[in-house]
Amino acid sequence: MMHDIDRNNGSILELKDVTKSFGGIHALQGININIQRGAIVGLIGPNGAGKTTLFNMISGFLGMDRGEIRFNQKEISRLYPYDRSKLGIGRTFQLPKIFNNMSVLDNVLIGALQKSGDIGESKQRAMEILKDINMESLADSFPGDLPIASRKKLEICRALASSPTLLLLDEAISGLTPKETLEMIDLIEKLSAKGITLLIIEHVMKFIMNISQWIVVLNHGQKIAEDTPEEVARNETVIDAYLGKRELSC
Amino acid sequence: MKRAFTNYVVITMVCLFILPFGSFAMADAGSKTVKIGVILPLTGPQAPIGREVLRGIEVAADMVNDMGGIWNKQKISLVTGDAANSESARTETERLITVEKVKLLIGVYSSSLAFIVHPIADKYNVVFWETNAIADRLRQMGHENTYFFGPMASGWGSQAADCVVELIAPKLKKDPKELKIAVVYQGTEWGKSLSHDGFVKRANELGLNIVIDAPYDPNTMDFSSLILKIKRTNPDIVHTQNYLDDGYRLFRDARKNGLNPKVWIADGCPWAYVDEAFQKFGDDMNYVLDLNQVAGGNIWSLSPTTQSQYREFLDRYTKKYNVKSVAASSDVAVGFTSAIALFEHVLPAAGSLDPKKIAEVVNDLSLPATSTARPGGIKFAPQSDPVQAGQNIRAGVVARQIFNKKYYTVWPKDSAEIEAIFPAPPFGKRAFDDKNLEMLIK
Amino acid sequence: MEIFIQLIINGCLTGTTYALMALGLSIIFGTLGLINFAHGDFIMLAMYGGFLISLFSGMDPYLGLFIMLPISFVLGVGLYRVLFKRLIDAPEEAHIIATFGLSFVFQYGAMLLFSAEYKSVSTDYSADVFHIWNQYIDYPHIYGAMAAVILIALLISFLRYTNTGRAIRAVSEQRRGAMMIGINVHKIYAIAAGIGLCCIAVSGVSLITFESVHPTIGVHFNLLCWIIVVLGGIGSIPGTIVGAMIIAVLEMLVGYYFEPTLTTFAYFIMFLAILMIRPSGIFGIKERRA
Repeated sequence: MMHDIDRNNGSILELKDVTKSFGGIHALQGININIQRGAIVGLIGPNGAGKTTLFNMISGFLGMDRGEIRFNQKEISRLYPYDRSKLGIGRTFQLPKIFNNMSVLDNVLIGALQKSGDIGESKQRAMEILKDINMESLADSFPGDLPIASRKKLEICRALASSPTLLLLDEAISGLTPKETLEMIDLIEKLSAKGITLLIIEHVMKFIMNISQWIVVLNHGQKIAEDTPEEVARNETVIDAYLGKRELSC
Repeated sequence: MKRAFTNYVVITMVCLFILPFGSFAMADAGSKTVKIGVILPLTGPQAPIGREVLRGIEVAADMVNDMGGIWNKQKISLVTGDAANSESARTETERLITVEKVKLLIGVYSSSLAFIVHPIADKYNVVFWETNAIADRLRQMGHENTYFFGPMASGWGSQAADCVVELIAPKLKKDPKELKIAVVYQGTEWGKSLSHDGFVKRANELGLNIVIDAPYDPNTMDFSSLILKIKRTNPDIVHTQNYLDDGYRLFRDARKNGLNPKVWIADGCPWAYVDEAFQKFGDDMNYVLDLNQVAGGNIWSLSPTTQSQYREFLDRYTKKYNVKSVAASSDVAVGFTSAIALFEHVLPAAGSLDPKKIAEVVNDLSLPATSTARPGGIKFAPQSDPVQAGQNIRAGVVARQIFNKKYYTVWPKDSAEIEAIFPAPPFGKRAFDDKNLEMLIK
Repeated sequence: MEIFIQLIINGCLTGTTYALMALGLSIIFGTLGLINFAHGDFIMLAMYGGFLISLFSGMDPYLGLFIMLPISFVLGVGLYRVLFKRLIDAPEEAHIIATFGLSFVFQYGAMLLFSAEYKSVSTDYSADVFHIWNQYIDYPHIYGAMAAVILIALLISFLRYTNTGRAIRAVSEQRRGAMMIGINVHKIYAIAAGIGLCCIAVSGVSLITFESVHPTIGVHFNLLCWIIVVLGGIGSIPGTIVGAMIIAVLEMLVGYYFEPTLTTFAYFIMFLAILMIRPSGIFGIKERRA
């Protein structure tokens, strides 16, 4: 696994001319994005910009009208989500889609089982992941009883169980307290240090601008900018279209 | 969704408009024919019954035609309509009357279909000759040209009460008023008119002791609670009206819970004359008293001409449709007896299909029990009768006791084959040696 | 009091029959999210299956399961591939219309193959009654209850302790979440449909030992099973069992102490009352899928 975050390492994910409409509404129009291996990329845009639609396309829940998605140079746009997961794409959801009827350990275990199939080995791996994320004390509790921060972390743990190389995080810190946010930042940096490429949707500007090395801005289904956080913050189009009068402080 | 809906509409349209045209082929053979419409369920869940009734009617028409037809050598030609469900019953009846221009309809067997079909015939002033539909209310709808050849539900039930007084009480050597009677029936229109308006009402007139009057939900899967409730009243007689599923379940749960009345009356219960009952209950079916209209069951008591006519029907039916035998009370016999009475006793005298002329003939009809293979005889109540207008008031039922898969007529006295045996032993001890029967044969 | 106990015992026995009937629906609906209005007709076909096997081989219908279970599983997988797969992402109206259509096909098909006559299987124990403390229990129901208990135990341990079982639970609760960790949802759905049909086979075989089968018997079963599954909580096997017991005992008590014509009505009222208090059923999971 790679530990540097050199952006010249080549693309892990390439989107070419990705287009999707729902009825007459253009959800996404000719999106081209390259995600560099090992990077932390922020995906921002006002509500309805098409961020989650893009996530759904990358993870395989939505088909495209036109375009290409390449993961590690391989065209994946016709694969089912579970096949993409096996190739190394992990994902979390705005509202964590964890299994409330299973214990925290089982949630992670079932992810691990898809890799190895051996219950002992998988259990060990699940415990390791939980330990790594400081959740081992919760192993036997049920997710329904946990605060939102733990649920979000659990969803990340579960995704880690299938050893992703690209992890899509949908609103990683929304709804978290400042303390929990700091923990989440630590966690994300830890994941990045393991060489996992991260693509993050987030509304909290301060967080996303701080943590990302690269920012992609969507508005009305179109990519309006793509740059380093500093440049994006200065970009007139972005400020006009998306940020409006809101203050952009890093 | 939109496409699914379109498909649904298209399929419905096809069913409603295209399929009925299939039966056109059967219509109109020659010019000198008397066209008679037959409306019966010929496809769908009730088709097995409807098709048999149709065969009975067809054989009746064949026999009349082979004898030279009616009215100066005109042949009877049957035009069929399929009352597969309530919707097609409606459209098919309309078609027979307006497109095929039939002036007389015969059918429709089931009461629920009759409620749809009879008013349409009445609207067009077309005569309807009903083969079987038994619901009482059909006789009270003011349809002046509708005639009911078979018995009505309450008549069925009230004759059972007479049977208790005339047959069962003497056999049990008790005063009828001392006998404790439980009445159990489907809480449906049929059940209520047979058991409540028929049996219970007549039983009250006769001063009988009804200890429990229990309608039930026919969808019940386990009747244990009802059986336990009945068992607590310790009845001598259990009078039941059921269809098939509920009949099996009720009898099964009675046996299971040890409800052992002296007499079990199955009044107009289809389940009690289907092979399945013997499959399921074996010897425990012995001693059950089955009350039914039993078309063809009274053959030994008929006049020689009616007897030979009925035998000819049996013969023709088995040959024409390549079947082995005809059970008494089968649907084909219901169809035949209804149709032959119409073709033989009504149409020739009326001279045409004019409703008024037919009404005159029907009003004057009065034929004894020996003249039809449907028990009872033929005499119709006037259309002014508020309760049983157009009803064949002589249409009767007979009581038959079951021994080793055979039905022996035990009541009314005139047509009894054997002496009835009561009380019945408890379930599990009902094996019966046929040798014992010989002593009972009259 | 004695009567009361007798009613409760009878209710529980009927309840196990109901549970057995509803399990297949619970699994197919709970896992696939498929609204199957042909469930009762599947049971009808399974009853004919049991009937045919004992007719041609003379075997006890329960032994016939060794033949029926593999066939049912394969049929379930096939049905998923051919029909259900296309349906699950379609709007619910499509489920209803398609499965209603299937129901008609089954009913008319059975009518053509078997006629409208009633068929049943009589076994050595058909008429046997177990008499204890003045209580009457018939053997076909006892064996039915045993079959139900065995099947439920197998099912629960399968879902809890095997990898496929875990995957089924995961998929039924969070389809997208499950896909995202690499679970092949279509494979799991096909397996679940196969298992659902196996449960239906067991219930059909058990029913044929004390009920007669005819082409339209499934209509009432369908309503009953739906009420049980929704009452107990969608996707919950303990819920299905509890729902079945409640309905059966309620029927007994209403039939005895109240009014035998109102048994169906009574459980409808009960059903509505419970859903008003707990819209997701007694054991229901609140959150389901996106």
